[in-house]
Amino acid sequence: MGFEIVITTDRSMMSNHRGKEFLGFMTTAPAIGIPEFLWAWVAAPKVRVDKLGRPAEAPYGLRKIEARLQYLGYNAAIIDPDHIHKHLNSMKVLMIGHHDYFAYGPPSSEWWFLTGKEPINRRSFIRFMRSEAIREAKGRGVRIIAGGPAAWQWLWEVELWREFGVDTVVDGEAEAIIGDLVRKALDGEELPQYVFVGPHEVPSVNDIPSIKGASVNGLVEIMRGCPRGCKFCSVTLKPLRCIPLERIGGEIKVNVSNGIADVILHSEDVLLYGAEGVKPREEPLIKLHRLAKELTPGSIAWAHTSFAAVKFAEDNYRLVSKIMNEILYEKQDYLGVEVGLETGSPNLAKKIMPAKAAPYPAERWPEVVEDALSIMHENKIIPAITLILGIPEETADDLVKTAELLDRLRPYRSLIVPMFFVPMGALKNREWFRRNAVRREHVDVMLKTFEHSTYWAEKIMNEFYMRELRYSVVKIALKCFITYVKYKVGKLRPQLERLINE
Amino acid sequence: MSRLVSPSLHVVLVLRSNDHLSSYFMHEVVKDALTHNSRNVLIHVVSPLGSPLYLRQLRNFLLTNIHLSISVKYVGPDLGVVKELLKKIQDFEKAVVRIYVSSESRRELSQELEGLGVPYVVLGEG
Repeated sequence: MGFEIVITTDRSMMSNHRGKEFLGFMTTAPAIGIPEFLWAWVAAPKVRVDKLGRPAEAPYGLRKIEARLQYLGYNAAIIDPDHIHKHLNSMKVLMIGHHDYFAYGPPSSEWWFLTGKEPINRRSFIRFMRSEAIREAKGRGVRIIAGGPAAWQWLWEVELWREFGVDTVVDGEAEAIIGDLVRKALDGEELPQYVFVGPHEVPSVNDIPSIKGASVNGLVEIMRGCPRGCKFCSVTLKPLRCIPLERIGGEIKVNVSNGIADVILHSEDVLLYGAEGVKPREEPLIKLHRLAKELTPGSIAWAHTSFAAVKFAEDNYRLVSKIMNEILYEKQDYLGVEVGLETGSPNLAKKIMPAKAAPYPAERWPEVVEDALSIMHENKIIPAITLILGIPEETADDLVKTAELLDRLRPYRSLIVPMFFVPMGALKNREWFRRNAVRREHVDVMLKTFEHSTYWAEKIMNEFYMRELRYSVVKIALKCFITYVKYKVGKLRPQLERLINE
Repeated sequence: MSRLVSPSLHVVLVLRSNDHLSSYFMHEVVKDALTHNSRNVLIHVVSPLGSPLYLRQLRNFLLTNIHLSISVKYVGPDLGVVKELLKKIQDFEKAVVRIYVSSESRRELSQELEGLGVPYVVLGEG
């Protein structure tokens, strides 16, 4: 049996990252201090597949496309990149997704910028597209459609676009158009080369399909879009849609029945599920977490939340404490999540993310961050915090404010990762952050985040993350890596400090 | 049926090798779309750069857009098949067609452009 439509991606994406999403971030960097194969072995090991090459778990976005095409009656399936050759006789369309094809997104572009080396995700994807199986498929007339959140990057790599013979690149939520596009491809009709799906064309809740196979680490979407309107973000351009509990439960069951014990509730802000604007509500969140607890044998994580929602939920309903100490306490003693800090400057916050602190005023942004982090620390919610350097309109004073806030955040258990500005969202026509734009204040902020994160990383690894015996080797590798980076930064420190003090 | 099957506004864009689209083109396309009550635009591109390298010329335009649904197709390096394309769009799809040419294209291709028998807008000249 072969599939007419094969959906896939390269190894940096087609992996469960050893059940630890955070390890997946290692694929956004080049191998540092160890050989690339070892780095990739730690960050993106192969997944289990069946005899047709269908992976036991696959990236959620690919699962959505698979579900939509199967619903429309197409003979489509996700296939592991090492097993594409099994479908060369049947394949007519090859669909590829990625969240960072060419490493232009954060944090890949930052690693590239800092080390001068191409990150693993880029190298892995290019190697995959140059593989024998893909060349053979193209030679047989298979039509290639690429999509996903990094689709825009193809516009910066038109030479590779030509070399790989990609027929169409789709940028945006594809549910509403993918059926017609695939039909045209199968019928041999002329295809558009680039398709941008505007906000009016995104699917309604009812048109978003439910996944039919397991997603990586049990990720399940609970909401699409975001009401905060931050200028640097592309998600916020889309309308907000909450997935009904019944369907969330259905997807969790699909994962559990396929042997995935954990769940990652995915939304740009999990605490805004069923919210009244930007004010979290108790009832839908309690129901959501009770449902997840009931259906999931393993642990629960949140993909993202916001500091403002954490503070509001706790201050008004003690909701964070209730979720952690009354619902999830039997399952787990911590919860991981990614949160955007972006800047410590109220002035810059007002300009680029005026609603990020809402319902609190943007002027109180640093206070909202501190209060929320204190709540998270207390309740053992461990955030991976991102901040953006080089945002248009950023001043030296904004960076000083960020550095001051970082000093105040030191007592709170968290990782803080600086990322360089990448033009996306309403700022997508603006300039990239470039090497020659780095100021001494940027260096100061980067050093502070480095100190904060290395301090907490070891504690988090020892006390919360990867405590099981099976992670011993990976843990040793990570500790060696942290020691190596500390040593390298230590050697550079006098030079960097001179730069800061000049 | 999605807009890939039946777009309501077609734009034919004629570029020469060194042309890059300015924000003027974005404004014009958005204006056209609003005028014709359409948010789905199919852009047919004539460019000597070949496919898909011509997309470099559209990159800023495509990355600036956040409102419209846009599809892009490559027509060819010159105006050879544009007449046929226009006829097909007008006869079969009954859709609105707008033609934009860069000033460089107008200088180089003025005779061929006149031969299309359809009015066109020169980018940058209103």
